[in-house]
Amino acid sequence: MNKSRIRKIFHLNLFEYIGWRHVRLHPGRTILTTLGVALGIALYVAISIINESTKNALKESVEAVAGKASLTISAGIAGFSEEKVETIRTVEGVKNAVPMIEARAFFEGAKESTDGLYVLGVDLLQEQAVRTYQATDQKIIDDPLTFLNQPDSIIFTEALAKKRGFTIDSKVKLSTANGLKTFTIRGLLKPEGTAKAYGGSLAIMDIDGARMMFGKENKVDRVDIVAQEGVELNELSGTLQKKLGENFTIESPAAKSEQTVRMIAAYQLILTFFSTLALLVGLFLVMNSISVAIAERKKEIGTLRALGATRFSMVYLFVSEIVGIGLIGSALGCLLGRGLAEKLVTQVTASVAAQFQTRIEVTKLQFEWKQVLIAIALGTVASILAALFPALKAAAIHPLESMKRHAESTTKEDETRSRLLILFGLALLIFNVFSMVNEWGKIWFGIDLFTKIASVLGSALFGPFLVFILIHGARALWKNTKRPILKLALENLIRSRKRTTSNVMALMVGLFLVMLIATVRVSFHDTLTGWLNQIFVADVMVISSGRAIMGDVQPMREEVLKDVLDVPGIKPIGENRGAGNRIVTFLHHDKKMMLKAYDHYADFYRYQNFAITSGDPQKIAPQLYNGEPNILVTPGFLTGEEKKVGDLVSLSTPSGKIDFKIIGTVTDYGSPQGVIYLSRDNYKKYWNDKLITAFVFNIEPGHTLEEVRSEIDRRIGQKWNVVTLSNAEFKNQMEQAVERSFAYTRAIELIALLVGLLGLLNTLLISVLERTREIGMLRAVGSTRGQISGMILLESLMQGVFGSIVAVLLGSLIGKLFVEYGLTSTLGWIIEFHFPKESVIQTLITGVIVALIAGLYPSKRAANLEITESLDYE
Amino acid sequence: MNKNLIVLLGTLITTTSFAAISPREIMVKNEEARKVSDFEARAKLATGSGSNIKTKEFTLSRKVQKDGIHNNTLTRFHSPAEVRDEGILILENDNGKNDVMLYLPNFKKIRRVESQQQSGSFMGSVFSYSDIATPHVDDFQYKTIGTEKCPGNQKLICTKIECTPASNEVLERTGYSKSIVWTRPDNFMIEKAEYFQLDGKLWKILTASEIKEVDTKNHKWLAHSLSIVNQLNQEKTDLIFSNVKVNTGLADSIFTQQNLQKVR
Repeated sequence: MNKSRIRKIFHLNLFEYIGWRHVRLHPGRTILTTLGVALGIALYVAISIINESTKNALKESVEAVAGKASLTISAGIAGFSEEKVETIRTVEGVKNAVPMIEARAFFEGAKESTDGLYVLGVDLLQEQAVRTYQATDQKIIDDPLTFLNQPDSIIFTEALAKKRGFTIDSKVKLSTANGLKTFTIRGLLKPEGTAKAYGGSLAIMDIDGARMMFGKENKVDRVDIVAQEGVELNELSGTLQKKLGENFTIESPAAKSEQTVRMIAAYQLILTFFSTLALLVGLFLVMNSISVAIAERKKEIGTLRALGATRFSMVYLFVSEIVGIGLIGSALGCLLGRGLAEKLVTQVTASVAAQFQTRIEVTKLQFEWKQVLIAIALGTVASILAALFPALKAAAIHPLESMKRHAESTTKEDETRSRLLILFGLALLIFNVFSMVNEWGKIWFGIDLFTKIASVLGSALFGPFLVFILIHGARALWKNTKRPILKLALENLIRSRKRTTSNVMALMVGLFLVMLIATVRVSFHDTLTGWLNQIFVADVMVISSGRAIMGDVQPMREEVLKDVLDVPGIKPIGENRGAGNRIVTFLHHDKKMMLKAYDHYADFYRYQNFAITSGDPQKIAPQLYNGEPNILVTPGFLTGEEKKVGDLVSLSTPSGKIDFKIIGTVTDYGSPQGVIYLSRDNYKKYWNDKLITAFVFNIEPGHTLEEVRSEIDRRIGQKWNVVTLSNAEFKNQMEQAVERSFAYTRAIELIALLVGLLGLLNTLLISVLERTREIGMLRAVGSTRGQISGMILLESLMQGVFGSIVAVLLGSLIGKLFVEYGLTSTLGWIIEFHFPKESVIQTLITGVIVALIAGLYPSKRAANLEITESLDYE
Repeated sequence: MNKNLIVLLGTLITTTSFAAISPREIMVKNEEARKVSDFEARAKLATGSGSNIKTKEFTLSRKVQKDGIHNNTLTRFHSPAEVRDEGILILENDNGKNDVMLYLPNFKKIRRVESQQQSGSFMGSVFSYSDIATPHVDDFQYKTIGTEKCPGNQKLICTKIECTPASNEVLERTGYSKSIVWTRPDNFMIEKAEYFQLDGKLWKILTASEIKEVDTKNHKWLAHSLSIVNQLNQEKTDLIFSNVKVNTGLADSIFTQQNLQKVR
C-alpha cells in the first residue's frame, strides 16, 4: 500500500471517527452554523435572483415591444410629428415604418403604480409587419370596423383582464389626458409576443384612439423600422439620422435593451454589496463556530497530534467538517433565497423602477441551475476560507501545550497575535476611510470590493478592542459595587479575552450591518424629505391618477387650469395665472435624465421651488424666464457632461438641436443621471408639448383646505379625473416612497440580526461548556444556581450593550463614508449624511434583547450543572 | 335513347370540349365572364354562427380601370351604427400590391392598410381584403387537377384548377399558398374554391351560388350569394348582393380619397 493511499484512509478515518462524531454529538452547534451559512447565502441568492429577473424583465419588455423591428426611432417622451413617418417610409432600405404611441394609464382611483398599465397605441392596419399578437380567441378583434372607428376600443392582455376581473365587452374606466374615460375591451391577448411586455400590464389601442385619449394628437412616440432584406443596418441608421436630424434617437432593440440594463447596473451593485455583507456576517459565524470548537477540543487535538496526526491532518479534519456544513447550508440557503426573492421582488423592482423611471414587472423569477451551483460553490468555498484561519491555528497547537489542564488560558503568543489582529483591523479601517474619500474604487473594481470587505473585516477585528475599553471603563466605574455577581461578570469578561472577543465579534458584526444600512436609509430619507420641504411650499397640488411623487401620473391638458382657477378659494398665481409643471424623462447621450419645466410663478413662491446651489436664487432663477434658452442642471449632469455653469449644452428636442445655456446648479433627486430645469414656455416651444403633469396652488385666506378640495372634487374631479393633495399629504407620499424603496433592506437587517443572535448563542454555549469546572468551583464555594444564572446572563447582557455601542459607532462612521463618497460615486446623487438617531436606540435595544435571548439557554444550562460532575469535567 | 344516356353524352361532350383548353384559358374566360365596366350593389355581410351572427350592410361599387384589367372598389358601410359611413377603397395595381384605404368617420381620417395586413380578416369576416378584391389571371399560375360534378349543379362537370401565386407580392397579399377552384363549363364562373394556408393546411372553403347573368347582352355573370367557411374554427360569413346594377357609367371620381372622405 503506497503512502498516499495510507494517508487517504487515515484522513477518511479521521473524519469518520472524529470529525463526523463531533458533528453528531453537537447537533445544536452544527445546526446553528449551518443556519448562519444558509441565511448569508439566502440573501445573496435572493438578490442575485431579483437582479437577474429584473434584467430579464427589462430586456424582454424592450424586445417584446420592438417585435420584428430592426431599428427603432424615437425623440423623447414628447414624441414627434406624425408627418415624419412618411419621411421615414421614403428612405431607401426601409421596408416598413410602423408608428406607435406609448402612454401610461391608470385605473379609476389609482394610488399605486400597480394600479397603472402601459397603453401602446399601434396602427392595427400595419402592425402585422412588425409585431405579432395572439388572441385568446381566433381573432384579436372581433369586429375591426367597430374597433377602429370607436376611440374607446381597447385590447387587454388576458393576464391583466383576469387580474381585474374583465372579459370581452367589459367597460373599464381609465384616467386619460381628457379625464376619466370609459373604454370597452374588444379583444384579449395571449401572453405571447408583445403581450409579454411589462409583465402583461399592457393594453393595445388603435393609434388614433390612443392619440385622442392621451392628448397626443398628430404625434408619434416611436417608429419601428423593418429593413429590406440585405440592407446594412448601420448604413440605414446613418441615412435615417441624416434625414431626420440629430434630435432623433435611432437604435436597434438589442442596443436599447442593453442600455436599459446598463442604467440599473449601479443600483444592482449596491444591492449585491449589501447581500455580500450579509454573507460575510454569516461567514463570521462559521469562523466563530470553528474557533470555539477548536478551543473546546484542544485536548482532543493534542491527543491526536501526540498519536502522530500531522498538522495537515488537523486542517483537513476541521475543513472537512465545515465542507458538509457549507454544502448543506448553501443548499438550504438556495431554497430560502428563492422564497425570500419571491417576497422581496416587488419591493426591489418598485424601488428600481421609481429611481430610473422605468416600468419593471417581474412575472417570472430567474433561478437557474447555474445560479444554484454558483451559490453552493460560493457558500462552501467561503465557509472553507472562514474555517481555514482557525483550522490553521489548531494545527499550530503543540501536543504538550494542549495537554495542560488550563490550556485555555491566554499565552503571550496569543496576546501578540491578538494585538496584531487589532492593528490589522485598524489598518483595514484606515484603508477603508482613505479609499472611500479618495474614490480609489474607481481605479479598479477589485479595490472597490476590497474597500467594502475591509469595512466589515476591519470593524470585526477592531471592534472587540473598543468593547474591551468599554468593559475596563465599566470595571473602573463599578469598582466599589457591592454586587459580587456584577464584579465577577466584569472580571470574567476581561480575563477570558479570547472568549469575549468571539462573543462580541459575532454580535457586533450583525449589529454593525444593521447600523450601516440604517445610516444609508436615514440619510436618504432625511436628504430627500429635507429637499422636498425646501422646494414644495404650495398649499395644494392638483394631479390626475398615479403616483405624484415620481411624476408617474397621467398628464392633463392645459384646459384643466382654467377650471381649477374658477374654484373659490384658489389663489390665482403666476404669469398667465399658470402654475403648472411638466415632468418628463429625457434621453441625453444614452442617459435617462429628467426634464422639469415650470410655469413662471415668481411672485407666488419667490423661486423657493428651485433649490439653487450655485448662487442667489433670486438672481439666477429669473433668467429661466427671460425668453432665452436657459437651463438649471443638477451637479450630476455637470459631472457627466464635463460642463460648468455658463457653458452651452446642446439638447435634442423635437424642434432640432438647441443650445441651452447652463445658468446654475440645482439640487434635485428626480434622476441620478441628471435633472434639467427650464421654463415651461421654452419646453412648449421646443418640445411642442402642452400637457401638464401637476398644478400647484395656494389657498386664499378665509378658505380651508377641505373646502377647496371638496369644491375641486365636485366641480372637476369627475370631469378631469383629478385629485387634490395637500402639502402634508404630498410629503407623506414621499416619505412612504422612500420607506418602500428601502423596504428590502429590512430583510437584510433581519438576517444580519439573526446571524448575530445565532453567533452569540453559539459562543455563549461554548463558553459555558468551557467554564464547566469554573462554574462547579463557584457552586462549591457557595454560589446559588440563581447567582450562576445571573452571572452568565449579566455577562451576555454586557457584551450585548457594549457590542451594540461599538457597532453603532463603527456602523455610523462607515455608513457616513459610504453615504458621502460611495453612494455619490456609484449612484450620482449627492446624499447628505444624517445620523440615524432612532436606529441608535433600536440597535442598542436590539443588541440587549439579542444578548438576553442568546444568554437565556446557556445561563439555564450553567445553573443546572451538578457540582461534582462539573469539578470532574475535562 | 334514354334520358340517362342523353345526360352522359351531354357531359362527355362538355368535358371533352372543356378539356381541350388550358387551365389558364379557362381562367381568362372566367375573368371575362365576371368583367363589367362598372357595377354597384347593396350587400349584406353576415358573420358568426347560431344566434351570434353579426350583420353589416354596405354598398359596393366597382369599376374597371383604364387598363381594362384591374378594378377600383369602394365599399361604404351603412349599418350597424358604430360603423356607419366608414369606407374602404381598394385600388388594384399591376405590381400585385393593392392600395387599400380605410376611412374612419369618427377620426375623419384615412388609414392605409399595409399589404401584409391585407391577407387578414376583412372587417371581422372570414373574407380577407384580398378575397374582396377581384383576382386576376396574371396573379397566379394554373394547373388542372381534375374534374368533378359541380357543387351547385350536379348535372354539370366542373374543372378543378389549382392556382398558385405568381409572385411574392401576391403571396403576401393573399396569404394563401394555393387555392383550388371549381369552374363551371357553361359560363366559366367559379362555384367553389378551397384556400390553403402557407403551411399547406386547408383554411377556407368558398361556395358561390345564385350565379345570375347580370348583363345579358354581353353575357356577364355575378354570383349573388357567397358563403365562406373557416375550416379551422368553422366560422362562417355570408355575403349577399341585391339591387345589382351594371354598366351604369360610374364616375372615376367615386374611387378617390376625396370621395372616400365624403359622407352623405
